[in-house]
Amino acid sequence: MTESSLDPEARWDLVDAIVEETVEYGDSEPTIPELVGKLTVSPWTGLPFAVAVLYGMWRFFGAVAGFFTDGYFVPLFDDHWLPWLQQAFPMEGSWLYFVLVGDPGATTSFEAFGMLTSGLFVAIGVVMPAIFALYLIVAVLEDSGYLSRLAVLLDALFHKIGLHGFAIVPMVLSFGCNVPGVAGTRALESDKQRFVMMTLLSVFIPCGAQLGVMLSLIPQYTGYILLYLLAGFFVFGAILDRVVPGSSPELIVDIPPLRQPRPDNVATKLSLRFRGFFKTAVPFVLFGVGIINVLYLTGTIEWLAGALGPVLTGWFGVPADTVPALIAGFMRKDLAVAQLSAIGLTPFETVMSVVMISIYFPCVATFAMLIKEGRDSVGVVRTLAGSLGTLVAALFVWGGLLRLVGVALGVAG
Amino acid sequence: MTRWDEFYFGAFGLLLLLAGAVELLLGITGGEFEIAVVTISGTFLAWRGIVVLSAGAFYLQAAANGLDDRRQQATVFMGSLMLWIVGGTDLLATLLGAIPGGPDVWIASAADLAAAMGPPYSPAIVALPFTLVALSYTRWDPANLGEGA
Repeated sequence: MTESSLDPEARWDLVDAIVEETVEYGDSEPTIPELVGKLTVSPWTGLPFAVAVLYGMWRFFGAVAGFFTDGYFVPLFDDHWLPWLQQAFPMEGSWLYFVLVGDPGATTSFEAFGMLTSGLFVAIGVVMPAIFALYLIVAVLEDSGYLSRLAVLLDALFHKIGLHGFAIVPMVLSFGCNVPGVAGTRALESDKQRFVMMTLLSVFIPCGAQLGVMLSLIPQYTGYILLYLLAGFFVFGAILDRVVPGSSPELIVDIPPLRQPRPDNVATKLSLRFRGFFKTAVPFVLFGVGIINVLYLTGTIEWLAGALGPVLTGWFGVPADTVPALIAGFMRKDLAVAQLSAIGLTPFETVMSVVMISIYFPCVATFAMLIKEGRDSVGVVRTLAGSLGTLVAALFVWGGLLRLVGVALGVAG
Repeated sequence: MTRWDEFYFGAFGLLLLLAGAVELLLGITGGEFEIAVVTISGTFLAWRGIVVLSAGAFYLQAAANGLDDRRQQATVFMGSLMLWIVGGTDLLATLLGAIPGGPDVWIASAADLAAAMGPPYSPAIVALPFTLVALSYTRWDPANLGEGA
């Protein structure tokens, strides 16, 4: 009788016989990395450790990205590139000057809002360092074997919204900047999961810059606002999980041993991902700025401000003065929050307006990333239509609910 | 008989519990506190407080259960790892924030860098040198691990 004709039971007996002949057993003392590896997936010890790792990840990301952006690219673009371009570029006052250079009186590259000023600054000065820091820290975590453990630890929580444990990485990164967060959704398996995560990140997760401004201007409300947004993240995640067609595969992940990351592995991953991102993302950000400028030139933004004014004030109970800040939120949410501080708002109106700015349209760089990543998953049209539909629903339902809470507490008008 | 490392990590754990609780409390209430070279201030205090508090709890639990046990040593090592992550990234952020040196200065002078890296420090940074004892557990030899005291 040949092995192929054996029934399953006989095959297992054969396997046992081979194992008995070839495998030697003995007691071995587990190593510290092996024991720590086990502790990292046990909730009581693993969750505090995850808090430490996520804090470290966020801190590292902020430090490295801030070092390049605030330390070098801001002065380089604001003090050298912008003044030179404003003087050297001909045809001041023309539509071409407005699209490419932007405001001739601007003193910072962000305010100028031309393709070659704000566009280039955002792409190279803001997004590039952020992506570098993101890919570096993710490569280190992957190579250390911890990322798989984090995914296993948080899998149950994210399964409630059709995602899996790897979703924690883009979520945490989005608290630094939504752009690498959206890029980080590549860790998710299905198109449905990527779409749901991209949408939730761009709608409910405030970026580090916005958080910084919130903490400095309204520290007493920031915690409540964050809690409300996180609640919205999971409520709308659960709804999207039921509404969006597609699969949400179970997390089946091989857990490698915890080990010291190898610099050559990390460098190779970083180099491949960084080059790939840089070649494709920069044009998206540049054209995103160009398209907004065209919308400004054609009066579309102004029309939107006028049309949305009564709706926003009527539904959300905030004064019409907040409309320009909401429009500014599309360019940069932290500045939009700062703009609110100049308007005389009641505490509740402040909380309401900041929540609206957070939920309201993603900033231009995130919008460009949604287009880019959407193209690689469910398609640009479906991604944008789905994300916009969700943000409109979230804005009106979640924002309206907050107003109801305010009315119930007697603090909303 | 109590091992010296059980006493060491028990006492260290208590101090960390206290520091973490103060950090967490001030993180929630929005206050600040400074004593000698230790400062408890800045953003995301509550999160740092949770980490320091948890590391202290891990030390205490491991010391109470006995550090003869390899798993308890791993718990101490894990608590130390948490403090290395938080303290290390806090130091990195301070260093990278100081290097650019401000307007028209591409790289700050050594004196400015030294001043930026000087005290006061957060509890996690102050705790860093005291956590290095946990490295001894990575060389497993029961005979060499602090019997007595």
